[in-house]
Amino acid sequence: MICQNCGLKDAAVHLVERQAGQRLSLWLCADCAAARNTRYGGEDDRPNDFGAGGNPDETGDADSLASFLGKVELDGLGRNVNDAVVCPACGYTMELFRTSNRLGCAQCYRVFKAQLRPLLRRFHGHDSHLGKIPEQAGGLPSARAALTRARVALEKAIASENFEEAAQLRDSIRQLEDDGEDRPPEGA
Amino acid sequence: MSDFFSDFDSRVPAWLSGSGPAADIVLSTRARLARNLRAFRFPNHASDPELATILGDLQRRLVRTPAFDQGWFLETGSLDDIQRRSLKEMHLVSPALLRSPLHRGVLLSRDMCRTSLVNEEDHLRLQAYRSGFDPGGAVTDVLALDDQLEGEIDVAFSDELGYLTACPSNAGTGLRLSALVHLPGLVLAGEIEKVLNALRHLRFAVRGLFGEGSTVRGAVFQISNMVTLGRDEAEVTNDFSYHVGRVLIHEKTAREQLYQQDRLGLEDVVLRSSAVLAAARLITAQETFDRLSHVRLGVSLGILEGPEPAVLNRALVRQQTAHLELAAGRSLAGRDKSAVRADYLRRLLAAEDE
Repeated sequence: MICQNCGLKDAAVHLVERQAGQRLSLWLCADCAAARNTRYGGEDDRPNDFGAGGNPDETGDADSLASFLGKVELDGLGRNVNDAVVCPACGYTMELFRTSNRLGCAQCYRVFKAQLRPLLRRFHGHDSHLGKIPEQAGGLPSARAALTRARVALEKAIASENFEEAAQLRDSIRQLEDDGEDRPPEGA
Repeated sequence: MSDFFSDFDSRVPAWLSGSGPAADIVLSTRARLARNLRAFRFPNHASDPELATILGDLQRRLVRTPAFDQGWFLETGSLDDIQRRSLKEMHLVSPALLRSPLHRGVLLSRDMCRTSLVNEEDHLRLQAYRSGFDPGGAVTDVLALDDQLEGEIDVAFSDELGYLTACPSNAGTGLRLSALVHLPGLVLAGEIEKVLNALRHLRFAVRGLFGEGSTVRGAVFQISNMVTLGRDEAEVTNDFSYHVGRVLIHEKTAREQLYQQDRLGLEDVVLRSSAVLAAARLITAQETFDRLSHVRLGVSLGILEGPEPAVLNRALVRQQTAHLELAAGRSLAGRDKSAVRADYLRRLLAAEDE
């Protein structure tokens, strides 16, 4: 698809905006998207579908950050309800995140947890960590990691139609979930 | 520590050596970890004094590690424009780091196979490079670097989301593997889009030589993983090895088929490009990337006897503007630039023939 703004380059970004209650859908090249202040199209090390939209080949509307952020909930005064939340550690808001695609500090992950979770899930396919844990954080895999590992294994077993294994995994996931309920929640 | 730029001609990254697994297709493999300090705002939101504190603190700790104690620390704010661009041309720093160079820096190991970027998008990015296709080796190296530093810094980590990064697309392991792959066979056979789309479908990013936003030059693509959350380092590495490995098999097959089906046509493309590099008096960077790509393909198929991959890799880097400017000792523009580049390439290939 050709960029709907300049009509010259291939479109790389699907931009969804709300203007005066109208849903506006635009396919733009990286340059025109950058000009619209979406921060997409810099030559940095970012996967090219995290940001204002994504690769038209792989991410449909529902997949893109833009459409996720496009679902704006407004309060009685027409303000975005999410924008009322401010990170107490650094002063960042979701509005700033929408324009920069960056968070302000590590605490933002806790403050904006509810908004970030669906986004992380959509982008990574998961929303909890597996892998290295620094020594200062205990260095040991948590119960949560065991649960994540089992869920990943379950997805794989289903994908490869290995239903016997899937059934066993489902049981062990239930067990792990039950165990987890007795525990105080782990902080983000 | 000697001055990095005083003996610039000898500063060739070891990962351009043209050795290692599948070096006829893969130039290099890089593993990168994103890390942040818990107590500070991410670089995009931090104040100048904050950035200066972070840079000073991380630099002091990093120069003491075995990787960097014999290497270099370059504060990007104190480099001139040509020097900064030359680091980008070598793939040692990202374009993002150069856009606002103040209070940011890069540490380089002696062989340039390990680097640390300070105050780029994240407070710290640790990188390890290997020549050829070696994801396992690169990940091992970068995790070793992380281990050495781990006890020294209060890293931003959550049990639930792993390492916390400025952009949520890197959260979790913070591990991004990239390979620079040369795919002229798939390009010439018209199969490249199909293969790249399959990779994108599997959540790999495919970009040009200099990452996001850059155009594809000389059939060199950068392939990297996108998912960093919910998969551990070993799984990401295995996944990357498997899927990129399949692309390499497709490329090999495409090259062989092309050679069998149209030997004369392929020889013409290769030898024509070789002749242009040996004879041109004016040549652009874009044309050079393409010509070098054909020559590299010719060498891998035995149409040409040389130059060696190491020489071609070096030429790929050295023919770029900032490198030519450093060698010439002055800034170059327009025709002048094309003439100096053509000179460099002619001499390089003539030296190879001797």
